[in-house]
Amino acid sequence: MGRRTPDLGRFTDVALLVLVSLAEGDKHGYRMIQDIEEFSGSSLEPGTLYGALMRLEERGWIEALPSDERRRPYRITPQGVDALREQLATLRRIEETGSRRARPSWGVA
Amino acid sequence: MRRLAAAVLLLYPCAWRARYGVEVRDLVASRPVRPRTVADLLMGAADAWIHRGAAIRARGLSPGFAVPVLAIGAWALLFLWNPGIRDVPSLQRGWAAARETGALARILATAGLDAFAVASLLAALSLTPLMARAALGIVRPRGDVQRSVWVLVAGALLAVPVAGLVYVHIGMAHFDVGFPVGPVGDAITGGFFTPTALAFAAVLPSAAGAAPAFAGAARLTRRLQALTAALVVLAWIPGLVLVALGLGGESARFLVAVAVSALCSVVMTAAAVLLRAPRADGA
Repeated sequence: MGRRTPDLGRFTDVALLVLVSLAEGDKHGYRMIQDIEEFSGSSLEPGTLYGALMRLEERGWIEALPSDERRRPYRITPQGVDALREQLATLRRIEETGSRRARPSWGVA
Repeated sequence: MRRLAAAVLLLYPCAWRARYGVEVRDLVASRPVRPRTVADLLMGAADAWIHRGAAIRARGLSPGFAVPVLAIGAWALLFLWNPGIRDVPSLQRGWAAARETGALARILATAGLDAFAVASLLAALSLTPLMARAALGIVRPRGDVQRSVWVLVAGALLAVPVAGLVYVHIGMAHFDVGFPVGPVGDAITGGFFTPTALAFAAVLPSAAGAAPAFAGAARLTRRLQALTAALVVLAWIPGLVLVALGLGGESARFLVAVAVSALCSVVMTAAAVLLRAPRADGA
């Protein structure tokens, strides 16, 4: 999945899912898990989700919104939107290259 | 299973729990909890501790944590001095056994001795960039003269114990003033003094670094102190190898004292270089 972003390590993929989810609007952890499951089929567990949220918050790509409730909503920041666009562009390049290479060919490889 | 998952949350670092604990507890309470969830939380706890380590390296240790570590380490080294360096029979028998390996023992003894000497001198030297910057701020006042005076006075006060410790260390190890006895003692003596000297010296950049005018000099001081810390860790290696070569001749008490001293020494140097200026918000 795209270029490995430093510091995100094994959370790179989860972070991308979180950014995509938050790009639609502010969400708390519970709603994020539901949304990610709906659009990607990936069922995230709390430990993984919050490992990614912690890193995204540290990088300034998302921010926590004030809340009196136990469920604190998160918002994607402009830097987060830029990072998401960059990662999606990388994914598109990979997808195009992969599709081209995986196309059936009748000739010498 | 839900109770187990809630219990696993206690394994996370306090700071992490203070920030995310309520949210994750809510998720655990409101979603199905499977063995996979518990395993994921366990992995998350390990990651939070590791990541916390990385964050601490980036941000430094708060004085509230580092200062007690340094104080306890300095006292521990003081108490370990007697069973370590004043155990004359162990030092002599250890050296006699190590010497049988030939030139290697002499090389190790010299390496430990010199590396600690350089580290000690660097610890003292590390005060100079900030003190020079403060002196310049008084001679050619531009901005906060009071801060310059404070840094210069603090530097001078800190220089007294630093210079004293360096003097005693160099005197004992290089000029045979009192203890230690023999090359093994000479090689490890610095490990008892240099971390404490570094601890005193590390206070100055932490105190002065918060002021923008001193940021550059504080950075240079910190680099010198990081180099000192690296040298202390490296300097222990030949000393410990030398002690290991003398196994059989040294008492168990001596071996434990040296091993614990090395550990204290390394922990202290790490705490000294990670000591950061207290933040304005008190965090």
